Amino acid sequence: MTILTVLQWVQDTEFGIFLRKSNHLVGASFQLVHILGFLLLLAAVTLVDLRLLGVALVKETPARIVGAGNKLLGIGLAAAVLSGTLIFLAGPVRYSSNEFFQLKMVLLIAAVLFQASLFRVASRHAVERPVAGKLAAVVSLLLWFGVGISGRGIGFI
Amino acid sequence: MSGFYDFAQWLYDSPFGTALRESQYVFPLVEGTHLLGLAFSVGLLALVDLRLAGVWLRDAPVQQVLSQLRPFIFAGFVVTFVTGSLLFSALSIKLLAGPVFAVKLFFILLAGINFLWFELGLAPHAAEWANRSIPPLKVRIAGWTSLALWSAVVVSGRLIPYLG
Repeated sequence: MTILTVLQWVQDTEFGIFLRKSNHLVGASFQLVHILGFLLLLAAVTLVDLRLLGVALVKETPARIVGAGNKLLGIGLAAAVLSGTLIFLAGPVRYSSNEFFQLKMVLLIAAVLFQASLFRVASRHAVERPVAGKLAAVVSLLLWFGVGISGRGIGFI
Repeated sequence: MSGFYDFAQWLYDSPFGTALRESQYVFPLVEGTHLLGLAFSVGLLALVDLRLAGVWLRDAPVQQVLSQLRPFIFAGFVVTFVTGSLLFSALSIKLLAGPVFAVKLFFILLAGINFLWFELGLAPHAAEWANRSIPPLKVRIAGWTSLALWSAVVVSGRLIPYLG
């Protein structure tokens, strides 16, 4: 069984058909939740990374800003992933063959893994090791903004 | 208004507008940059709004959150408006054909008025409330209003391809 068969099966489940046949405004409302959630995520990531880079909110400890940012990042990510899954399920075969979608998923997985591992460690020790903190901030910005750019590209091919 | 429509038609037909509209890579890149500019402008502003509303980062002084994020938010708005103007030059006639783009501009106008109310009416007295974890009611209202209006701007922008 290949991935394509699985996707084809998902697409032909009642739920997949329901999503695909539903009014286009249903799809539009998923898109709205998707962009608002993703913007909240990007804003939280940007804030935390600006702090680690030492250019904003420098009087607050990195730990406090990371903690406050992570709450919003979690809410934004949950909203974006949930709505994104519903958007995907309306046409899994079409989306999975889209090169920008593939790039977006690779970058998304990399961003989540990085955020939960190396970034976590680097931000926790940002006071003693500021260079590692800055490096983590740059990688995090590139990964998450890469997710956004590649996501925007999906509709163009 | 017909003057503006003529201008939009001229822009649409201009070599610049046409080239941008038909470009395979530049147009999506401008759209992508518009979205990423939003993360700095509307996104960071939303975080400031949440602080003004008294629901987030309560232990950080408001004054500090405002002053330290302001340059990034302004830079973000510059990117957002420049890329937005470029997109308008490529799509002007199509954007004016439906009602949603006008609704979006209207929400931007309202958000701008709210911003002026905050900057001119509330911010000058910031010393009185800058160290409170929960700002006074007027400031919280300005924060929630900004959050709601800019969300409406993003929502109406995203709805343009669906509702015209």
